[in-house]
Amino acid sequence: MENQTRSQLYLGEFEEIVLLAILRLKQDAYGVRIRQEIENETSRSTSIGSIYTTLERLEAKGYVKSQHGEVTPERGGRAKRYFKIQGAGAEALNQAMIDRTRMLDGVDLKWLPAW
Amino acid sequence: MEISVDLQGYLDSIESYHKAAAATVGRQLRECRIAQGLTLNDIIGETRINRHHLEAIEQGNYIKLPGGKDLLEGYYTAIYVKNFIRSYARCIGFAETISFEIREVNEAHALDVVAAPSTSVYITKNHRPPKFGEYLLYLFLTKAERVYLIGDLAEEYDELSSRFGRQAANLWYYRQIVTSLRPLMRRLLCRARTVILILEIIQKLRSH
Repeated sequence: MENQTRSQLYLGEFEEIVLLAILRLKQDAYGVRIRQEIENETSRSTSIGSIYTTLERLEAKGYVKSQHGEVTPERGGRAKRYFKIQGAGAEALNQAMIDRTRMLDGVDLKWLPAW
Repeated sequence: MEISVDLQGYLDSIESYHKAAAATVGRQLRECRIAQGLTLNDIIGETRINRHHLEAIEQGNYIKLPGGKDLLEGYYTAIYVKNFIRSYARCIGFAETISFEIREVNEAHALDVVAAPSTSVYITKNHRPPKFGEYLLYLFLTKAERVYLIGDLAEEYDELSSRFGRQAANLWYYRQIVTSLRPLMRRLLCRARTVILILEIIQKLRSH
């Protein structure tokens, strides 16, 4: 039973990063900001396409919920889409953190050879 | 006591001021067109304005436009001239931000001499991403996604364009498109694979 729950809560590495970005941005979590937040904090270059395909997956799993936002002139009159994390998403994120901490327990990354 | 008024010099200065303004606008339009990778033929196709007239707009030579001579004769509302410039500007993305300033020469100063051409155009910046990139995305996005994703790209493009210039923004934009196409294509393939799998199962069930 526990295994089944865990597999349901499985999060990919990029999904984890996107969920954390949404949490950090709070009320301001929409495409542009999520992409910039990831790029600024992880120094990995990210495309808006990969953000949206990931968000679509997360929404299908019920981890995030989206809602229509305001229209601005610099967006060419197009609306924003805000994302909000859901209970299942927070739970999945929590589980991922617990798993990672457990796996890191007893491992000293300092002495790993860099090859 | 006699007062001499340098009327010709006054009119010349007005004329050269407006000529300079017109040329600047023409150059701005031309630069914007080139930055988007558009040729005059593209503009002709879209606006139905012929090449000579488009070139006249880019050179700031409004007199060559239909009704352009009206400007010389003091008809400040030369409709054709305004409409031609407006259509061209709209075609390359200066949508609703174009405004015409019609300045009539003060009659007391101009005396009975016909005023110099006085139509000048002021354009405010409105950065719009290249259409081709948008089109590429249209092929892979769902209808609902188009609004948000293209809107996001347009917002960042506008921000970058005003900070680093149009060329840098274009480079960033195309890089975003290319790197975005990969996950979008992968998604499309996954969907296609699922459909194929379902069709195969149906076929197997039928044959049994």
